Order: sequence, then structure tokens, then C-alpha cells
Amino acid sequence: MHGELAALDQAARAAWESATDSAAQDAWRQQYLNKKKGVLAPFFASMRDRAPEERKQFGQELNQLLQAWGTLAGGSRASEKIEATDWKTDPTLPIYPTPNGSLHPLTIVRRRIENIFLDLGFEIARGTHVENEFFNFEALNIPGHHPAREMQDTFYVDLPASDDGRWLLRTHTSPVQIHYMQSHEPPIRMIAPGRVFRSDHDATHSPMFQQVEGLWIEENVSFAHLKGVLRLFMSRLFKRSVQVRLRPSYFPFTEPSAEVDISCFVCDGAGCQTCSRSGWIEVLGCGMVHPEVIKAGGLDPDKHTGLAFGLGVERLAMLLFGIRDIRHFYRGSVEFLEQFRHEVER
Amino acid sequence: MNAIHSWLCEILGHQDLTAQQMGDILTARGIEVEGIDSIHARLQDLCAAEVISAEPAERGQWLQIKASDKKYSVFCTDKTVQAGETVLYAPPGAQTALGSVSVRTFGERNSEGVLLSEFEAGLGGNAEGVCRVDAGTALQDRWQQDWILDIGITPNRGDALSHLGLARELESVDVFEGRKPALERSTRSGSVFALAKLPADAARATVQIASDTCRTYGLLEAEIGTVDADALAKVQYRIGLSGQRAIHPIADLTNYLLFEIGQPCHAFDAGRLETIVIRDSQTEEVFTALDGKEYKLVPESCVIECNGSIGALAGVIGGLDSSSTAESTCIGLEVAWFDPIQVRKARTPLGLNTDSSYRFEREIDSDMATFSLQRLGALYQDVLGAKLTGMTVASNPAPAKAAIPFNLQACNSFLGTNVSSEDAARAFLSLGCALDRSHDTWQVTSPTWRPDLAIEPDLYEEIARVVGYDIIPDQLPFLTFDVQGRLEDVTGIAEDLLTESGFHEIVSYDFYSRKDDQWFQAGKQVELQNPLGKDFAIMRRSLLPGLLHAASYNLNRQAPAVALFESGRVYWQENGKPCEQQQLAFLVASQKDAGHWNRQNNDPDWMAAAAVVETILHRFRLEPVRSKGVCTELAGKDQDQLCWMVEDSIVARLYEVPARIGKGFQLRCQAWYAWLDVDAMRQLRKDAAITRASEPSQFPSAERDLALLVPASCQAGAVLALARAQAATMVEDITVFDHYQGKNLGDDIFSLGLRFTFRATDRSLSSDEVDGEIARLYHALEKAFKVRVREGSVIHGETA
Repeated sequence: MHGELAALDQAARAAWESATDSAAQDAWRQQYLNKKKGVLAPFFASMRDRAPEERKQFGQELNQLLQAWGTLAGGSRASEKIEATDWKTDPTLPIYPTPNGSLHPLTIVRRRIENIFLDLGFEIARGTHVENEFFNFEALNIPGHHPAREMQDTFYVDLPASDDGRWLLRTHTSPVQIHYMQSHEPPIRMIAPGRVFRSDHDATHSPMFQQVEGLWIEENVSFAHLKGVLRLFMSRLFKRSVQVRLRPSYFPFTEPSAEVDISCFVCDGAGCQTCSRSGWIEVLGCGMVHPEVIKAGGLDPDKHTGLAFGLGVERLAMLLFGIRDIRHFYRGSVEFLEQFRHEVER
Repeated sequence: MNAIHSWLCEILGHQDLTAQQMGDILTARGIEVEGIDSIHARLQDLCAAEVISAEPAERGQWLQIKASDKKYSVFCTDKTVQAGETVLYAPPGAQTALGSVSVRTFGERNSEGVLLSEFEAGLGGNAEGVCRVDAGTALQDRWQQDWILDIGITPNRGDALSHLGLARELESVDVFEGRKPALERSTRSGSVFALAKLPADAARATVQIASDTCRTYGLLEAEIGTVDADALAKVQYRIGLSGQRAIHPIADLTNYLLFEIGQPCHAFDAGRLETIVIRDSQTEEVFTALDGKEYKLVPESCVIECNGSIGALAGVIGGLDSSSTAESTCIGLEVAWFDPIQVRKARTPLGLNTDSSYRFEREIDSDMATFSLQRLGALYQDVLGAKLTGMTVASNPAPAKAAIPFNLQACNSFLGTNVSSEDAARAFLSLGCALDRSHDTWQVTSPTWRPDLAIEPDLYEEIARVVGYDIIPDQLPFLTFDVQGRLEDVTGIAEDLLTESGFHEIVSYDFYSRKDDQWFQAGKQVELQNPLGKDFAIMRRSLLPGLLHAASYNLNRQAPAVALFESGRVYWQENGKPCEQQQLAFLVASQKDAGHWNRQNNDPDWMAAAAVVETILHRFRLEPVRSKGVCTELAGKDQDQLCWMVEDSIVARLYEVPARIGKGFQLRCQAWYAWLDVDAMRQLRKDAAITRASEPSQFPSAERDLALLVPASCQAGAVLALARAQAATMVEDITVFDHYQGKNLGDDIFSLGLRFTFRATDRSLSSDEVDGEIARLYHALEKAFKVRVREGSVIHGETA
């Protein structure tokens, strides 16, 4: 060993013997184990000035000395720390945080809906959010100056009108039906999830919300098929067997039209707060596609019949997860969102 | 609309159905009963109070009242209330038709509750002053029990906007189930409604229809006699519960007719009435309506011209000068059929929406003018002691009503049912349809009050409605499937990668404020014509503001850091046409250390954010080239951004949120924002071909490090890319283990340390092979980029 290093080694070992309390031992560690500020610092600093051949050997001696002193003192502070916090010492200490990201509850429900219909052979279609009057209204059998236009308060967009009327934010996903029929041959089975916009804003209405549209066009599709598809869908969505009740209603684009109620999945129809004690929960609107709509899609209503339905994702998510205020969906509160981190839906 | 149980029972001629049963039947028939309220429920929180004293005050008086042995001080705007009277009182906390009653302050005094008019209490139509009650008579005796059904009527069922229409629907159940032979009582039978014998003489005022939009116009003239107070009270009670306050007896009866049989009616003051012309308006005619406001009419609106000036906007509202008043003694009662579209076109631009226009727009019965005049005549005779003096009915030719063909087999196939021909025939009969069954395809003529029945599927719906949607079976389809299955969705996979990396997904509105939009310059923004408010005025050009709002919301609530993402559209316009793009964006921001006991300062940096971007891109087998550029989407000072390019398309961008923008959202810490062009990724993604596995090598690997001095004009990525491109198959991997640029090297050069891993699948590589490949690659790099080996690196036995 280099002479100077040998002398230091002797001094260090003597000093360790006399350091009997923890404070003195800590001071010793600072003096002898700290490469940058301890007694070895000048030696490490001198490395760059030494000849290459000497540098290698001197470096090895320095490292051996440091290692020996570390062993003498029962390990460096770093190794002490590892030992003190090793899982064998206290396995209950928190580990590094695990990622706890979450999908939005609306995405979870939308995906659940999509997956059920994909399993039934439906395809996913998408349309633009900015539509024109023809596709949003006329093609869906809602002519101008028809009271049905009042059913959906519309946002109009400040752009020059096209040949197909004024530009607007689609008030429902139903325009996708027309686009899809115009570009596909029957049999058609598609769902169209997406955002829609209506001029309405309070605790139960949002000016933007999500819908999923469903369309099945084929020869001999019947109202009974509509009922069967919806019962299957609802049972899979709520993960239990549910009763489906159809009530006559009116939508300009379907004939006959129906509102769909399901037996309350909380009380099984006995009556509870969720179902307003009626035993039934209204979940969606549906019907057989109106012949004028089939025509607007470029198909022959004498040959093909079809069923269609549209449901609100927010409403289903509120029912499924027991969410009372629709505004929670759009605030971006992590406290709210992280509740759904265990809901997996791919 | 509101329907009154006792009124429906009166029209039906029996009391066999409770309000709840009526509600269930109507709902099952598609006329949704949204709620049922009762008179006694409305009385529950009210009580009779004796007025002890009255003290005049500005705009009213202060009353001391006594109710249930307690005294209250109440402010009342009705100055006619006197001490000693007993009045209808709602104490604080009471729930009334007006809402919850609370203690309110007038001047410096508290008013403990309110005194109500009959209309305010939801007990009748009288809105004139406080409701007086008899002392000593229980309120439940003063107002007998009755039920109000709150009914939602769909736009196709204008016929159901009256008690007559609802009664028809209820009665049709009895007809279908065979308890009654046909619709009788609830139609136009004199046994249900008192009907007047109409005068043989023509009305004194002449009537001329000069507009195609008016099919029928009837005018009944009458002289008003003595009011029957009890009969008037019943009228006011019913219109009040229907939602209309009493105005004066002449007007109240027109409203009564509207709610009873669905025929809108207007009463002119006939004393001055000489001529009536129904015509289309000229350009910008001005009209003063009953509400006292002046309206500039849309050209070609149908108007009722009285004595040469506009007396009413047809189907919408009467005129101020021509309408009857409480003092009128000679009146002209108008019933008509106006075109639904015309009424809507005329009233929409004026912002008018009346009970009459609401019904005309939903198309009223086209054949009820005479019936309506008979009923009106009887009402005015019975309630106001009127003498009917003349009547004129003018009409345009009505379009012929075509029968609708109906094929029962097609109907059963369409519905998936097995309805018998007898049931189908009885269903049509119960709805008032005329039926011709002489051929296989029946001919069905709908009643005049059901103009919504126009095509064969309308009849299918009627069959389903009458037999009941419940009898339709649910049938599971036999479906065929596309064997190829679906391509995994880009957005869904990327969303999953982000959540697994600790990100929370948010959903923000697709529109934002002008203030949020000020930071962006890419594309011309799309504005809304009728936004809900300034916060929703513009379609967003970036997902950044939504993420910043959410980040700020959470950081201001003491979250140490946030990692958020959103998948959504952005909008702009090109050549006056709307454009949309699907983006996936994320934002990371940290304002303080999360405080883990064994780790400090886990701040996100650009490299962590970039790694997230590349994880997503690699998932779709995209091999992007990274480059630096200027962020073109942000307005103002230039902002550097990191770009990922695939085949000349920028698929992703990352930049640090400029402090000036962060401050605009109350964000005061460093934040990184990235967005991916999902549409481009969908186009560029490689087909998800099934992976072909190769046998892992059984032989050991070898490593070599090569430290290069690279001219600063070169980029590390280019050196690495060339090395990878030129490498022989034995080179398993090349990584960068060191990058240094500093004073020892000078400004025009940087040091790049490359680590090569070598491995062959069929043998152990010799040192010569490995060193030879290193030398070959070095020379290739040297030639391409003029790199040099850094001091100490060894090239195939040579020390640099």
C-alpha cells in the first residue's frame, strides 16, 4: 500500500476504536468515508495528475481502503439505511406509489356498451360533430317548422350555410344512421357512440353529453327483435337478468317508437329511491326505422326494415355508479375520477 | 298539460277509473303521465287565518293574522283585505305551487309567510287578490278532493291536448275490450256535452277567407246576459287547475273550450265589428297584440283583418283593439283551422308561444268548427246568459282524405306478433277509424282528429299501442359475424396505456370561452351563433384549456401533482366549412413534492412526458423521428416544441406550457402538454399482423462502448439511426449511454457514447468479429458525419 495511505489506515482504525458513541461514530464516518470532504478527498482529487500506469493501481488501493473502513464501521450510512429500511425489517412501510390512473366513468360505460354490441356483430361508426340541417333534421323526417324540432334545442354554428342547410352541432347521433346507410349495403348493424349538443344546462342536463346510436337494417327485422336485442343488452350491461318494458312514444325517425324501461336493478322492481318507487327505470328511446329515413339513407323501405335505438351514456353511468349530479362528469376532479380506477373495461 | 280527474270522469260518464288507473292507461298508450297531484295534497301546508288588524303601508298593508292559535305578521299587496275576514294563509316552510315559503323582509319588518290567491295556491283560476274562505269551514270541505294529472304530450298527438282527447284514449280501452260498442260518449254526442242550437241567421259581420292557410273559419255572435256565478266558478276552477288564470268571463270561456275539446277560440268585441277578412300579411305590417306589445309581422303571416285593420295574428294571439273586454256586451266568437306550418312560421320570429299556437302547430281536428260553435254557444248561454244572434262558417275546400292500406300479415311480421284480424279490426274501431275489410288489404280511414296517421307503419304502431307493447315477444336474432374481427381502436389502447401510467381521464366541453381561445392561432376558430353564455362561445381549437382548467381545479385543492388526459375533437374552419380533428392530449404538472419517505422530487420532466408519447406510438408499431420545431398552434411569443414525425406527418407534439398561459388558468407551476393526432395514427398504424416468433439465442452476448466526438451540426438521433441501419445482424442493440457537450470540448462538438450489444444465434462471437464490426460501423459514421473517436476508446485493437 502507498505509504501515506498506510499511515491513514492506522490512524483511522485507532480513531474508530475510540469512537464509542453514535455521535462520535457519525463524525468518524464523515471524516473517513466521505469521498469528497473526508481525509481521502485530496487523494481522489490527485488521480487526474498521476501517470496512467500509477493511476490504475493507486485507484485500486484507494477503493480497497474505503471498502475496508466501511466494513470496519459496520457499513456506510447508505448501506445502513438499506438495511434499516429493507422489507425484511419493516414490510409495512409504503413502497413507491403505484400508478392509480383511471378511465373516465363515461368512457367505462361507453366501452361496456360498445363491447356488448361488438359481440353481437355490430360495427362502430363515427360521424362529425358539426353537421348540417339536412342530416340532423330533414333526413331524419324532421322537416323545417315541425314542432319536433323543439324537442332538441339546437346550437347553430356561425358559418355560411351549405347546400344542405345551416351548420349546427349535432343534437343526436342519429345523423350517423344516414351517413352509414348511404355508404353501406344491408345487412347493416352498427352503433355510433359520440358527443352531442343541446342548448340546456342545469343539474340534470348538460349542453354536451354522450349518446350511443344503434341501427340494424336487414330484411324482416321486427319490433320483437328490437325488444330481444335490448333485453340482452340491458342484462349484460347491468350484469343481471332484467325485465324490459316498452312504452309507446314518439320520435320522428322511428315508427313505431318506444321508451324503454328496465326493472330496477337495485330493488328488482319492488320500489326504491333509484326508481322513484315505481320499480322501473327509463333508460332509452327506440323504434322501427321510419320508411322516410330508410329512403333518405338510399335504401328501399319496401325491402328492408330496421330497428334503431339511442341511449344517453351519462344517464346510464349515473344509474350504474349512483352519481347524482351530472356536472361531476365535466369538472375533472381527480378525487371524483379516481374512484373508478378499479373499473376495467377494454 | 294538466288534466283534471273529475273533468275526465264527467266526459267519460263514469267514475270507474281512479287518477292512478287513468295515469297507467294513458302512459301505456304513449301519453306519459309524469305526475299526479291532488287538491288535498296542495292544501296540506295551508290554513285559514283570521285577519286581526290591517295597517296600511307602501304598496300594500301589514296584517296581523291568527292561525292555529298563533299570531303572525304578514305583508300583503292586496289592499282590500280587512280585519275580520278569513283568508288562505301559507306559513313559513309551507310548500305551495309557488315553491317553498320563507320569512321575507319588507322595509325593516319580517313577513311571516304569505296570503295566497286561489290561483297561487293551485286551487283554481281566480288570481284577483287574496282568497277568502269561510271561518269555521275546513279547507278540505271548501275544496273537494280532486286529482291533477301532469301529462307530457308528444308532438304527434295534438288530439290529446284536451280533456276530450284524453277521454277518447281512455274510452278506446273499453271499446277494444268489448265493453262498449264504439266511441260514443267522448266524441261529439250531445249526451256528453251540452250543445247549443245555432242561430239560423248569418253573423252581422261578413267573413271572407282570402288565404290558403285557413281551411275553416266560423264566427258566432252573441249578446252577453247575466252571469251565473256558480257556473263561472266551476269554469274558473277548471281553467285554473289546467294552468290558466282567470281573466274575465268572456275570455275564460274561450280558454275553457280550449282545455275541454282542444279548439282554440278568440272573442272579438262585435259591437264595432263589420268585416272580417282572413288574409296573408303584406311586407312588414305592424300589429299591436293583446299583451300590449307591437309586433312587426313576418310577410305572408296569416292575419284576421277586422274592419280594415289587423285584429288578430291567426292562430297565435288577438289584437288589443279588436278583442273583447270584461265590458263587452256583444261578442264575436271565432273558431278556425289554420295551417300548422304557417302558424309556426308566423309566431317563431316574434318569440310568441301561446296555448292556441301550441295546438294549431300540432294540427287540430279539421272537422270540428260546427261542433265547437255548438259547444261555445251552450257555454255562453249557460254561464253568461248569452243570446246567440248570428253565425257564419266559411271554408276553403278540404283536401280529400285518403284511406291507408293495411295488411295484417305484414303488420304481424313487422311487429313480430300474431294479432288476429278481429283484434286488429276492433283496435281500429276503438280509435274511431273507418274500416273497409272487403279485400285482403284493408282500407283504414283515420278520424279527423288523428292527422298523424298517414302511412301503413303508423297503423302498425296503433295496433301495437292498442293491443299493448307488452304482448310483443322479445326475440333474439340469429346474427352472423365478420370472421376477421375488429381492428383494435387506437384511442382505446392509448387511453389504457395512459391510465396504466397513472393518468386520469377527463371530459371537458367541446366549446370554451373567447378568453380560453386567445392563446391559439392555428386555423380560424368556429363560433356558435347562439351560445349558452360567454363560457361556451367558441368551438375549441385545442384540448389544452380543458386540461389546464382541470389541472388548476385539482392543484388549487392541494393536489401535489396531476397527470390528466382527454380524448376529444378540436375544430376550425377552412373556406367557410367546418373541420374537425380527433386528438388525444395529456398534461402533467407538479406543484410540490408528494412527500414519499424514501424518495424526493419526483417532478415530471420533458423526457418522462416524451417517453409516454413514444410508448403510445410504439404500441402501434410506429417508428417516429423526433425533431425540434416551433409550436405553431400557440399565439404570441415563439415556443419550442418536440415533434414526432412518421412518413412526413407530425403525429405528436410536446411542449412546456408557457408561464403566461399557465397564469391565465391560475396554474403557477411547470407543466408539460402533449397531443397526438389520432386520425393520422389511424392512417399510419401498421397492420397488426401476427408476430412470428424467433428462437432466442443460446450464446452469450458481448458489449463494446464507443465514445465519439460528433460535430455539433449533427444530431445524435441521426448518428444512432445510421449505426442501426448499417449494423450487421450480429448487432443486437445500440444504445446511447453518454451525451456531453461542454467547455472541454468546445461549442462545435459534442461527445456521444454508444453501447453496442452483439449476439449471434448460432455461435459465440469472437473478439475479432465484434471488434471488426465496431471498426466497420465507426468508419461508416466517420464517413457520413466526420465523427472522431474520443480519447480512450479502442477501435479493433487501436487506441484512439
